[in-house]
Amino acid sequence: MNFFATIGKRFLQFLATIGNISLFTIKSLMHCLKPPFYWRQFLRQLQEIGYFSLPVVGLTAIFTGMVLALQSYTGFSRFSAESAIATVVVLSMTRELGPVLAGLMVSGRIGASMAAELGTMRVTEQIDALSTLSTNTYNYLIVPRIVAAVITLPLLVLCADAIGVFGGYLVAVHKLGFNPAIYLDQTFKYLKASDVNSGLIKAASFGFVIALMGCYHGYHSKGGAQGVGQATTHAVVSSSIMILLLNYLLTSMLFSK
Amino acid sequence: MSQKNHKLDIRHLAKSFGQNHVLRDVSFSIDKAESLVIIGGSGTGKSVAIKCILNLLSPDKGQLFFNGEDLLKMSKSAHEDAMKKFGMLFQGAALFDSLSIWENVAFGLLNGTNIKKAAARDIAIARLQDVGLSEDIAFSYPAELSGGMKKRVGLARAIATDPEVIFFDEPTTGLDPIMCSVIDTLIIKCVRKLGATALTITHDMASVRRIADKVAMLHDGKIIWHGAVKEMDTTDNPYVKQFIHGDLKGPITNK
Repeated sequence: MNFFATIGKRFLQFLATIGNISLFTIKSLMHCLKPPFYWRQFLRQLQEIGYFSLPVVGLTAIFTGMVLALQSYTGFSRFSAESAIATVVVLSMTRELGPVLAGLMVSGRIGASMAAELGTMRVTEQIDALSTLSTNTYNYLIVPRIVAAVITLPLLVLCADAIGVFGGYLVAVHKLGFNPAIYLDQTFKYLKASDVNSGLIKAASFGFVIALMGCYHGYHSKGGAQGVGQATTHAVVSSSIMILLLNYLLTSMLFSK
Repeated sequence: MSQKNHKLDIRHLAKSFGQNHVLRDVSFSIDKAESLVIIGGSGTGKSVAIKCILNLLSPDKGQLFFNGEDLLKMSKSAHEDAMKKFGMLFQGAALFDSLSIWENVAFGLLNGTNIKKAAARDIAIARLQDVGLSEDIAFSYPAELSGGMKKRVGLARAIATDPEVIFFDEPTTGLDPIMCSVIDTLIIKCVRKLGATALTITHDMASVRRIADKVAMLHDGKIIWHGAVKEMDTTDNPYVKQFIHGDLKGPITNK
């Protein structure tokens, strides 16, 4: 009997969390439209999420592009289709790997830091202090983070796309002996604007999910250092899973034709 | 209707967290420029009561009259305006670590009023001097300060917007006895200077005797005793007696 009670309790908790996250999302979006907008907080977040994530995202992208070229060469050379490598690299980077890997890396970097920062502010009563100083906590803490993440993630992914393609080019030209001009020509020959755009749409929604999860778990963290630790874990795990889930849904929607 | 002469009049405040009935029926009132101290053991809901008044938690039941108007029945904008007249010193000072000391002190001014940045900085520095801190620390960050200095900055921030009511959540917890006296003296000075109404929660009896005009004791979700600070020592209420003497045996521990 206890066993079923535990399952039931867990299930109810799960439903409650979904409800709370939905309410939090609606409230955050409504506050996006309400003044005041805190520009200084927003710029700080732009710098934090965009600029300081560049090295991590860039490194991820260059190695992914390199390994893509290497692996597809192994496969394609078995039936003399080496010329398709450039296309495979650029399409995989722009449509899938750029947004997903950048999203996952940023979720580890930014989602975690948002949850830890807001969580610490919660347990040290700084969030309460904000309210007592006639400042709306959603406008001051949540809105700048969400808006900054939605704007910067596509920009980061654009960089990741370019760097990833460059990684593929490096391996193809310097290791596999491709002709540089032909490789570049192959890269752009079959690339369509929609391939890049779909990746950017994905990136913006991943940015939203990362900031939302980081803020939600941090804002609602409880009980000291342990609570902040849990909030950080939950933020990263839930945003990573949601990124992968959302990626499938968006792919099936955007490329359903 | 509430009596006009009470600054803050709390009636039948109740708040539960699930099955845990923290506040059952709390009623008290404070007059203008009066200092009320609420005493009570740890976990009796003293902080919860303050958080309910400040709208950081929403009470289950009760009425909160501020200047004769119920805070819970006001329109949103009237409530926001009313909230600007409250100040709060948090237990851990709750300074914003991403902002410098003067920006912390001036936070309420910069975000709640249309004051210019330079003017706000001047006010912040003046407030820092009021609490005995020099201008030099205005540009350092909270992490560089000691606990006692943080409390003082927190006090400067709480009084920066000239609030009508100031809440103090355990202002002397975790400080050495001399720093306790310093903070208590500053609280009295600031409250007298501003003509503000003060509501303090604490379990430090030395502090109570220094800052209180009136004392109320919270136990088991209710105010079980209230009176002037002088009456505290002569009362025959067994709860108050046990609490102020710190006895191991008595009605509070016999549960």
